[in-house]
Amino acid sequence: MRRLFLSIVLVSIGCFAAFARAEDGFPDQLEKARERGTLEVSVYRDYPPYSYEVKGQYTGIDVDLAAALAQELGLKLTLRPFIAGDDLDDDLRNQVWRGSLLGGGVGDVMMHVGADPEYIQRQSKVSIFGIYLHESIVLALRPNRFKTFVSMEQLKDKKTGVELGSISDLYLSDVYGGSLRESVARFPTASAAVKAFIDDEIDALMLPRGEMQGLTTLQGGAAFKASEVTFKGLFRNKWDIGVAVKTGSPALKTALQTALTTLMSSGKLAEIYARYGLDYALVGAVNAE
Amino acid sequence: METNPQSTVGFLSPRKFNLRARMGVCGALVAATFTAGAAGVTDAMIVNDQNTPEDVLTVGMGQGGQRFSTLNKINTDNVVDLVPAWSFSFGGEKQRGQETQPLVYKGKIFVTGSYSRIWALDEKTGARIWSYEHRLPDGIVPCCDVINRGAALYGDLVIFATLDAHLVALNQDTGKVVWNEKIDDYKAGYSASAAPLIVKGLVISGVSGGEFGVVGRVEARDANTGKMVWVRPTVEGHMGYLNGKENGISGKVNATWPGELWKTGGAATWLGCTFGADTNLLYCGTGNPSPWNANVRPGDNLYSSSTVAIDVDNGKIAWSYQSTPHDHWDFDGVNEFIPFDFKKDGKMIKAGAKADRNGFFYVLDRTNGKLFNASPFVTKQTWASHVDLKTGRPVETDNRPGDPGTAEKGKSVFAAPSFLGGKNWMPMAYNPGTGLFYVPANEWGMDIWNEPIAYKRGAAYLGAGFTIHPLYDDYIGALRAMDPTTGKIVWEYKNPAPVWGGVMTTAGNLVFMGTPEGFLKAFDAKTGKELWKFQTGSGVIGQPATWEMDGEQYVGVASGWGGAVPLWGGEVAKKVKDISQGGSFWVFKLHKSGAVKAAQN
Repeated sequence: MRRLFLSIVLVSIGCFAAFARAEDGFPDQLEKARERGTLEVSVYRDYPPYSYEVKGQYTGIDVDLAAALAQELGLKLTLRPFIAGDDLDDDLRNQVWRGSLLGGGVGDVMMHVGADPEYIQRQSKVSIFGIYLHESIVLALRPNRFKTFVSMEQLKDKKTGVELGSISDLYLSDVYGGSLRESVARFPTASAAVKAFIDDEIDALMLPRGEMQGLTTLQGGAAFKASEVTFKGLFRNKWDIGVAVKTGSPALKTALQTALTTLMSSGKLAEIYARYGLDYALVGAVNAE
Repeated sequence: METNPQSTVGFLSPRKFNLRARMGVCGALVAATFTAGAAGVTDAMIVNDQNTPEDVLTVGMGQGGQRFSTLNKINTDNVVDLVPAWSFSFGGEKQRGQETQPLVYKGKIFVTGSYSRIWALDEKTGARIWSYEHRLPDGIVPCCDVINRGAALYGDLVIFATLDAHLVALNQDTGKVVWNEKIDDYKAGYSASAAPLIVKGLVISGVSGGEFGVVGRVEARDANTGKMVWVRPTVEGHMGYLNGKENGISGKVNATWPGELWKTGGAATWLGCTFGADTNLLYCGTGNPSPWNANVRPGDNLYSSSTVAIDVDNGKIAWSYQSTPHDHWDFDGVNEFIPFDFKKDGKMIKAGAKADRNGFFYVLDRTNGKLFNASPFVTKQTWASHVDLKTGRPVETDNRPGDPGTAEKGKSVFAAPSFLGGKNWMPMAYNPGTGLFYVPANEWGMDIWNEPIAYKRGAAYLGAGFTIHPLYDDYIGALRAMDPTTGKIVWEYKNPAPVWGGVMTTAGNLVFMGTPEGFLKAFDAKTGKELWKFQTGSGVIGQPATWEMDGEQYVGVASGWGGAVPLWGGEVAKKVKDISQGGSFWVFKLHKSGAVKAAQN
């Protein structure tokens, strides 16, 4: 009954928005999606546990969530897996508002968009909302390598695995006058860092919590304790993840936000996280708008 | 920043060399070089390219890249009569980013286009002979537009680099693929757009892309087969290879890099190399070091932001000169190094010059890399007061952004030039007649700061913020004539929009350059007076070239706005927002009245 009610509300919002924008000739992105019957969702390629390929099929948290959102909207799902650009500006331009110079157009929604308040403020072409994940940098230690751990400075002369070029890498390379720089074990992917940690090749592991939990599960490792790290200087140790749509699609935005709220309150989002080994209490969108 | 395995097939079929077409100017030397059975473009012809105006075999109009032509039929007296002979539209919807230089050989013009396309055109009529469009994989993300900077000729092959980081060799007559070699993985962000250079049967190329984890290198492949001959990394600590065997590491591990950062040190060679035939050295520019936060990599970080001289026979570094040690401004010093000679105290000096992205014009001894002279070619640079001629090092002015590890708020500094450079990729030209270099320059600065958060693939990282500002209201771009012996600017032409195209100069005392406003312009090489211009319909960011056919001199240039400038917003975008996209190739010659022509026939 509740579902039915929501759909009616959504349809009315959709019609209203389409009517309201008809003058400038730009229909709401939701209307376009309804016409074609599918929701086109952009997800990162090769980004486990969020979006990755297994035997020719895309899977992962972002993929499952995208499917659930499409279902809530009464649409089929079309996935647009894409290779990350240099930064999020590139991805939003190529996937959401302009399209790549090499063709392929834009999708309706992009998943896994960093939702820093200041970054959101800066956008004129896209709207970022629908926070569904909290990432925070956590540190896991191999048992028996540290008697007590009270300061990051103890990582000196130990090997701490990070993903190359990640904020963990940049942080450890910079702070304490660079004294930890040579203790950083840089891996080309977060997966490789997790593997080295499970295989006991390194002493510590510093990654975003969601990635650490999901990749450990994927690799069949036992869950391990990891604590949040506090950064100094300009470095940020936690951030939110949401979705993005092109500016000027209020109906699509409202529909997605409503669908997400439904998935949260129904426990469906927690179910998706659990499927991939993520702890909803820690990474779930408990503080979502 | 730019992807696919291909098999190597095919072999050069020997083709008759058309001696008659070449005999006019290149004369006995070239003729003597070609014995029976010589096929197509040979090494001797390439070495001599700058002296044979009826063909253009290399991008740069010679291995040294002087972009000088001995032709003087078009000159300061008659350039006003330059008119279009024909124009070729690249067609399709891919109307942007034409940075190519044409090659001219045996009745054909080879011109590359954006999106990894190439055409062979009839030299006389401009009619299409064949076209090749490289199949690009889905989802490639070239960082800096979809451009291509031209091809190379060898034997009966025409070779060019593609956006998915391949080198592709096609048959000059048919446009069929003869070999196709992967440079690197586009999924890891690699790409390729520079024109390859042919030296001694080798095709020389660099790598571009990959913000994290890329290590610059120069590669030499057998031009006939695409098979790798040697690889020389441009970051200190990495092993080079010759014929599949270890060939010594570049520099010394940890001499200028802390810890293991050299393993991912950057220094991409995205603009390729020039060659000094008399020194047997390749001169290759290298990009900025990685990661961008210089605080984490104390040291000079060799061989980033340098000119690296590599022996073409053994693939070893002979010398290097670093223009921006410990780069923190993204002064990606890939700019071309052009060999030239000058007289000093009655002695001929073997020199070379480079107008660096950091705003200084360097003159070095091309045999050993010793600095003769360094002087600014832009009106303002904030990062260094001057270059110490004794040590060869810049004297810095405390213009580096703050250390993000200690700062709660990122210190913003105003730095000039901006990261797009006093000069970017667009090549300058050298005229031995006037003794001047003609440098396409831009006057802009940037606010640069560290920011607490940026994102890549949903993960936060520390970011750098840039805002580019023009330095003057009335112009950004400039064409400047530099005297390399004094470091003085002899004349300048100011252009409202930033200039982004190559320069060419001729024995007719002319300098040619395109403008984003759509013009190809000709200037008096001695005075800088603008003598001629033609509106091509879209912004010109291509590299002009000139050649002779049937006793007449021709000038060709590609037109089609794009490149990196329109991809960056800010105040600069306002100057270029009304420029139409395009994609065409224009050829010009001197006007002859119809009556005279008819009489001749």
